Order: sequence, then structure tokens, then C-alpha cells
Amino acid sequence: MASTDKSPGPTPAKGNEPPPGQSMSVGQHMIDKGAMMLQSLKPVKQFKQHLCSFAIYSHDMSRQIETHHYCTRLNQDFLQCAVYDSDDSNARLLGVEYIISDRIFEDLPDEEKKLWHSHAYEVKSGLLISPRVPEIVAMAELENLAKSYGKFWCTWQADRGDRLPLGAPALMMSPQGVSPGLARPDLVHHRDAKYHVDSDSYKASRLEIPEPEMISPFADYWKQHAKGFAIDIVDTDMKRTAPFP
Amino acid sequence: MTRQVEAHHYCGHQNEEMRQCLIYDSPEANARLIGLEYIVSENLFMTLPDEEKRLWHSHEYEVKSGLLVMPGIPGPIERQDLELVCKSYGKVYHFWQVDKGDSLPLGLPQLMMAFTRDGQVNNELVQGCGKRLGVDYEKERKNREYMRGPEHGIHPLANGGGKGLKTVLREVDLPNDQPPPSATRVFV
Repeated sequence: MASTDKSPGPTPAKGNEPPPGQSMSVGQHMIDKGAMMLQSLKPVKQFKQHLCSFAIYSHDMSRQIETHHYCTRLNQDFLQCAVYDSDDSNARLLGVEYIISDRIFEDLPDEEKKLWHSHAYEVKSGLLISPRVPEIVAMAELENLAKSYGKFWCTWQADRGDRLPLGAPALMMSPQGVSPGLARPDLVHHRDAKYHVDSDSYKASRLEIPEPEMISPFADYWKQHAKGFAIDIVDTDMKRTAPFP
Repeated sequence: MTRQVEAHHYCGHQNEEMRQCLIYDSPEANARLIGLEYIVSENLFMTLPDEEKRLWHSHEYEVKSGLLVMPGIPGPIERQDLELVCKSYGKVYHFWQVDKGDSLPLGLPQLMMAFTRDGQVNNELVQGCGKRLGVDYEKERKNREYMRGPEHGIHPLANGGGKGLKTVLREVDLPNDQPPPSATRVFV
């Protein structure tokens, strides 16, 4: 019915422009301002870090995107991140990534591990940066991240020209040191130019960062198995306690 | 329908007709990020391909029944926004099935639907929420009686087109025009 790897049917909501729709009305702005003053908004105030990196569609590894993660640490072993396509106020919410320590990852069943990717390469290669944060300040968190694993569901394939979030979620993978996981140089240059950084130059300062002794063969599934994943949304019987809809 | 969750949405506008929301399981600082929702106006919904429309749900019942509340916002202002939400459609994925007791976000994304009529929602869930947030659902229902849902009525394809929908994982071969991954295989 809907699948990650099938193009959505024809719709006017295609193209590279921002989402269709009228501009915000004054009334709506005022409601928003009021809400910001009156509501506590605690969960979203917990975003303490902004990370910028790249992700690759697991079902089509020629498609790569620049990602902006806004992360909250729930405990020593767990981060939850809202992922956007830029750091602007009009950024599109592309999806969610969860990041766990290798300690927690090791205990997952193999079937679950297949959905996760490692972070050591993207940290040590300098692809993952903490924009505008000096390396020395970022180092502690980079050391945590290098040993972590992530699970990233992308629900808006904006790079495909979807002006609205269409279709089924896509499982994302992380850049790695071998094809087809190598980060596209044009994307990296574009990002580096924006933040006035040189990803390559971080390799030296990050050389000593420890990585997991062994990365599970189930993580980064494509590496050992040459396969990606797609999600299909299919009909099923709904258990009902009342008529629907 | 037997599995229902309380959801706290934190929303921002892309423009007047489109919102994107992060969904948490509570309004506290240690809340778990369990999913996300996109909300579009009726006009935008109508531009979606038919297959896509099934993945979206209507908000009319949630709003008019009082189930959907904006905590801390005075009624008259709340209702201004809810008049718009009442006509809108949403698409929700949850990634963390906390109602199953999962301590980690395991498994596949779940496509979520909304309540569409009386008798569906689990009353205990509602009473609990009402007490905590100080909501009088009966009063809210009366206050919102005047609201109207989508101008063209709830689209028959929305809400799964009335059918259940589930997500299934499929392995795909990586396209041939990509070089194969590193040939080194690790035997464990």
C-alpha cells in the first residue's frame, strides 16, 4: 500500500520549495506566543546538544542527507534526538533517532540489532560535528558517541522532493569507511562551507577516541549482508472495541 | 484499538496550514520521545495521493469530544486554535511502545490512528488524564459543540479508510549500480 522505496503517487506537494500552505496569520502567531508564555514545554526544553552529520537511506544508499540532531540525554546510556534538515527555524522535522551505549546495544536481540547503526566511523572521520562548539569542549560527548549505536527513522523524504511527509518511514544508516557507505564529498563540502569547518582536519584530533572493540555484524547490516530495509504499510484486521471509524 | 496511549504533543508551524509535532509520553523533563505527528489543513490533505490519505486521521472527534486539550491555555484562546485543528488531518508514527512496557524503542514504527467516535476510548485512561490535567471533559464537549469539522466532511479514505494498517519490514537488495560492500567478511 505505502512503501519506503516506492515513490508516492502524483501530488502537487512535490518540489524543493518549503511545504505548501498559506503563511502564518497574525492570529496564529499570537496563539503561539501565548502558549509559549503559559505552557511549561518541559520535554522540548531538554534539548541540550545540536549535532550535524550525514545519514544514508538503508534501502537506497545512493541517497544521503545532511542531518541536524537536537538531543536530550535521558541517562548515561541513552539519548533521544529530533532530527531536522537544517538548523533554521523553518527546518523540516525529518524524523527521530535514538542513541544507546554499546553496553545496552549488546543486550538487544539480533533481529533488533539489524535496525541499528554504529557511530565510530562518523565521529572519528570528522563527519559528525557539534556546530560552533570547540573540539576540546565537545570531546567528552564525542567519546560517548563513538562507542554508541543509533536507530534513525526518517518520516519525511524531503530529498526526494516531497514537500509534505509522504509514505512509509525509512530506516537510515550511518556513513562508514567503505562503499556504498562513504559520505558524498559534495554534501560534506557544502556543510563544511556553511559552518566554516574542515571535517578532515578533525581526524587528527579524534584519532585517539576509543571505539567499540567489536562492532556487531548485525549493526550496519548492509556491510555484511549487502541488503537494506524498507517498511511496507499493509492492511490488517483492527481489533475493535467499538465501530471504526 | 485496544492499545491506546496518552500523548503529549509539542508543535511548531511550518506555515499556517502545516504543523510538525514531537510526541512525548508525559509533560515532564524526563519524558520519553515516543513519536511524531504532522498536521495539515483540509486543503493540503486533499492534495495528497489517495494511497497517502489512508495514513492520515481526522481530528474532529478528538477536538469536539474534549479529549484533545491544550494544558494551561485559557478556554477562549484554546478554542481559537482548536477550531482549526478540528478541520485538520494528522499523520502519526510512534517508535517507542511504552504501553507494552518496552524500556527501549524496539521494533518498527507504528502508524497511529485517532479516536473517531464515542465508545472507542478507554475510560480509565481518560479519567486518569482528566484528573491530572484538571479537565472536565463534559464541560469541554459543551463548549466545543459549535465547532465544525472538515468543510467537505471527513474524507472516506482517511483513518485508514476504515481498515487497520500495520508496518512490515522487508529486506531489499542494494541496487546493482552501487559497488558491493567491502568483500571482507567476518566469520564469527
